[in-house]
Amino acid sequence: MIWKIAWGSVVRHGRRSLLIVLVVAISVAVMLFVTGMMDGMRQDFFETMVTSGGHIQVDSADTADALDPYSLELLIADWHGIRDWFQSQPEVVRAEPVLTFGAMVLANDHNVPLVGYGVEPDTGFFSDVRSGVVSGSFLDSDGIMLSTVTAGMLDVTAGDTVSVLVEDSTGAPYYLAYPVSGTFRSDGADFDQSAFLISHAAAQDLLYLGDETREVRVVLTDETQASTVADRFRTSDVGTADHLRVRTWREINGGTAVLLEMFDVFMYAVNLLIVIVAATVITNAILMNVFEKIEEFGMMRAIGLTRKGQFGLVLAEGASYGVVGSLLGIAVGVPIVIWFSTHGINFGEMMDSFGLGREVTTRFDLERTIVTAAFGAAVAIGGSLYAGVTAMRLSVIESIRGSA
Amino acid sequence: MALISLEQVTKDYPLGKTTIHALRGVDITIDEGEFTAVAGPSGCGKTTLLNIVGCIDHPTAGSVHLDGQQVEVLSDADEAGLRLHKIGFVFQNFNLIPVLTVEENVAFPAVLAGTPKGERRDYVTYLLDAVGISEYARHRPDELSGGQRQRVAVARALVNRPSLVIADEPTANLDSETGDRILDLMRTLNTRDSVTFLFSTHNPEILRYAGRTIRLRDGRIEGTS
Ligand SMILES: Nc1ncnc2c1ncn2[C@@H]1O[C@H](COP(=O)(O)OP(=O)(O)OP(=O)(O)O)[C@@H](O)[C@H]1O
Ligand SMILES: [Mg+2]
Repeated sequence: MIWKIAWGSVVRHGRRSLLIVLVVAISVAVMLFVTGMMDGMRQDFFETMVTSGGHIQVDSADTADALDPYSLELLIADWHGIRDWFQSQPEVVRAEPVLTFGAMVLANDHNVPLVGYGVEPDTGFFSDVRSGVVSGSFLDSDGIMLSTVTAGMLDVTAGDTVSVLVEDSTGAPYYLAYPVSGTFRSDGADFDQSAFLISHAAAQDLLYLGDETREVRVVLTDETQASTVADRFRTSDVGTADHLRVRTWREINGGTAVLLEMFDVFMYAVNLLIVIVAATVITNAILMNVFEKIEEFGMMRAIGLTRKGQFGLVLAEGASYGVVGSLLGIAVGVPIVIWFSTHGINFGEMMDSFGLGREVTTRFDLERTIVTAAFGAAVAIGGSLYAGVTAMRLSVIESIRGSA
Repeated sequence: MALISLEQVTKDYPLGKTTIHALRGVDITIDEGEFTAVAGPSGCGKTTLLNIVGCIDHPTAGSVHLDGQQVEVLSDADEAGLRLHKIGFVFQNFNLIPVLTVEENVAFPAVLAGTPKGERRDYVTYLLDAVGISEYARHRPDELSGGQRQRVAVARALVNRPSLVIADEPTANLDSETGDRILDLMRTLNTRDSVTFLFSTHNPEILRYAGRTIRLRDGRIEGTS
């Protein structure tokens, strides 16, 4: 009967109830969307990190101070031992050499300066390149992978031949011709404009190197293990060599990781603002509801309803709004989150320049949804607290007279 | 023993710099089974008196005993309990809860009192029949006439079998014929079920129903008849 009275009040204050329900619903929907977006961004970040840079990178200690990060003076010769050590660790999913170098790619009287990535042909990194293949196939027949952007600039397509000009390890210019095994479009515009892929062995040949590489990249089962594994490596037989530099993803992507943390703070600030605005609107609306029928509450008190009972009645009213509003918020918010989890929101270059990719996809999380909805309901109940307390404070006679 | 006794009850309302003396030392004793009217011109203090007897307002001075219990010393919750179990109220306005049906309105105090469902339903049915409103059990108050609503209010006032039913101008918003029927009903419940009634009116017509009439003027008892 308490709920019937509470619900009756919701129906009775039609227009104001609609306002309250909408405020709760919009709050829940916006919170779902914002948190879904942040979750999606974080997930994208970690996925991109895993697919390109890995969780741990080992390279030459001199890289940090080098003027030219692609200098062939900065290579490591003992990379087999490093890779094998990592692969023997239980937390490690994969360890691979990556050999980056500066090059000029030429075709049809055009030339483009690019960074070459010498990778294992069955590499587990660069999966966005692999899944972004537009024509041809990934590193087939000893060829190279060009982005659609550079292929366009060079006026070539899969199957055509291009020349790659480098300064080899002796310091002499040297070039070789390669077929374009395929073109790709990755998740990052920067990468597309500046990089091409080649097999690790072919890169070593081209650069006239022995069995050297620039770095070893490591993927772990869980990013939180990075510093543990890195520390273990530093004290291992292979890792103690002081010409090596070992960095975890946090050190490699420092800027972006900080950015993500800032986004988190921003997200909490947005959610807090939403809650404050919603709570204010709801508090006032329920206060009006309650005082519009204060005589009725007075009558109920006169016939034996206790102050506590009256308080409960007002709270039940708030809870009714909360439940209806939250359900509506879920009904609106969840489809939006799910839609954008597959379609992506294009933030264009700005987002890309943060290193978070061109597009943000939201992420749907059931637990998060339930928590947000419960939170929405709690805000409505919280909003009714004030009205409940204020009305409860009045004496029976004050309530009946309707004068506060 | 007296059901109600008021001793030197006064009630002052501060109004700006002056004070309104709504009651100026009232002594009343009402026994169980009485059918008492409080009469007097507008502003003489009838509502004030009934509210004090009904434990929804407190006297400025003096004491009130209900069923041998001194009212002023009760805690707020005990007072609510007293109103719930020992007193039934019929108001002039705002009597019923608009979102509940007639039978739910009547049952409401019994729900608050925690009466078992079966017992509650039986007694509500009996009361609705007793006040002649059974056929409207499932209706909402706004589908009822003023007289029918007052009948529902009387039934509700009785649902917890109170020692006393207080009715402040229960007929003021009704035409005289309907008002007569409400008073007939109250009188019947008084004689047949020996429910004690204390009601107020400023309508002399209504006073012929009263077993006893307390006449108020300017917050004082002018006489009893
Ligand atoms: N809350 C209040 N504040 C100030 N004065 C009040 C208040 N309530 C009642 N009074 C005054 O107390 C006096 C008695 O009022 P009360 O309502 O008891 O009279 P009444 O006999 O019920 O009148 P009516 O027949 O019009 O209902 C009146 O002068 C009234 O103006
Ligand atoms: Mg009055």
